[in-house]
Amino acid sequence: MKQTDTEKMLQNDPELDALLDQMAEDVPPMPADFHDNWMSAIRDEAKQNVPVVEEKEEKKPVSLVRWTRILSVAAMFVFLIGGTLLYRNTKGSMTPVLGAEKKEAAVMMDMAVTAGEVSETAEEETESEAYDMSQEAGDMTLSASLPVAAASDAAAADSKAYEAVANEAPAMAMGAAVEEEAEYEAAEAEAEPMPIPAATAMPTVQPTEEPADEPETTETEQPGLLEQAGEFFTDMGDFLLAALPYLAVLAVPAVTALLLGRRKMHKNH
Amino acid sequence: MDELLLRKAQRGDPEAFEQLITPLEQLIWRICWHYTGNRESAEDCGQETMIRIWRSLDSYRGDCALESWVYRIAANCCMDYLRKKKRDKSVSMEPMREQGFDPADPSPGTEEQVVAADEQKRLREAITQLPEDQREALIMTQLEKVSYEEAAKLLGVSEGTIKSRVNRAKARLKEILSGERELSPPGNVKIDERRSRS
Repeated sequence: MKQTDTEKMLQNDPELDALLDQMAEDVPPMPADFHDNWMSAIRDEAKQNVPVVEEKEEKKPVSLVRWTRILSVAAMFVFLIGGTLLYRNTKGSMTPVLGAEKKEAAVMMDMAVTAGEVSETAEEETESEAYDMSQEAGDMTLSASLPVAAASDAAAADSKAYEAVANEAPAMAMGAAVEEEAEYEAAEAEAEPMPIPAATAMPTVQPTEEPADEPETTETEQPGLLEQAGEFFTDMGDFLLAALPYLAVLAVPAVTALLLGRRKMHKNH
Repeated sequence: MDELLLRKAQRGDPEAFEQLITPLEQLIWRICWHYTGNRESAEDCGQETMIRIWRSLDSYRGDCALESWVYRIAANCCMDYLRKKKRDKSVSMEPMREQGFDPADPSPGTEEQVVAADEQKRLREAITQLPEDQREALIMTQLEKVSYEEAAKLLGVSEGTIKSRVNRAKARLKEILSGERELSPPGNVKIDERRSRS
């Protein structure tokens, strides 16, 4: 803290500088009781302030540690539960094909069940329909034979004979077609119920939608709390595994901060 | 400086504080004296400085020398004291009386001592008339012999600012002192008479 020569050169008034120097040197001796006075004042201050300082030291770390722990546990729960829920949602949205497949399978199952019922009714219907159709076909052949007889009886009327032939041909063709259809449907009804044909038969049977809903409701009610919890924890495990690389990246600064904090604490102590 | 002593003092150990500050006691006394020019005021300022150091010791991080830190506190304390005195309109105009010099009743001693004491008295009074910033810079650099660089650090201004403040303070002091000589106060007349007689 001593002045340099250049700084002394700035003092350009010797008379004033001499006075100032003299004043600087002319300091009266420190009073004898000066030390005792300020020390007693300091001791009084220390007595007054010590309890406050101790209280502060006691209160601060306890509250800090407690809050840190509470916040840490809360953050951990939020991370685990929130992360797992988000992971589940993401998993569901990331695999739409699987979801669609599941839905499709459920629909097919319902259809198969309803198809069993439908096939029975269809069997009865087809039998009756086949009978009706064959009868219709018989009637049609009879009605078709009438013009032929009329033609043989009255051969002169060419135009009429032509009309009879013209009427007979489509009637014969229709009869054959109806017979074929009846046979096919009868055979189809006798055969084992296939899912896709059953689905085509759905519109003909009105109450098929109601029983289709029943199996779904029974399936959703089935898994209990334990099963759901198990599923949740499995997802949690999957989530933790998926988050492991990110956790590792986060762990580096966290561990560094922890080590630095401990080092600082150690230094302070 | 002993680190352990400092830590103990920061934790509130008065004995450690005593050991730490006692070597700087003389410095604090000098500063208080130079600022106030009054024994009683210097004692008060010194005590107040010690209490301030004690209270704010935990804020000392060792960024600068403890001596500089203490100096800054002492200077601030003295300036506060003088401001308060000024507000109370009872600024001490009798520092020389405190030193044992009374112009009306010249004390025994050599003529040189009397003249010097009188000049010092006038100078001290002139210093009290200086603006605060100039007075602080002048006391630091001219009386406490603190370097311009250190004074700049302590006052938080540039070195150039300190130099200009000191120069302006000196110029102002010359003006005050020359004006006083022209007016020649009664005390000085007596001294002059004694000087001519001898």
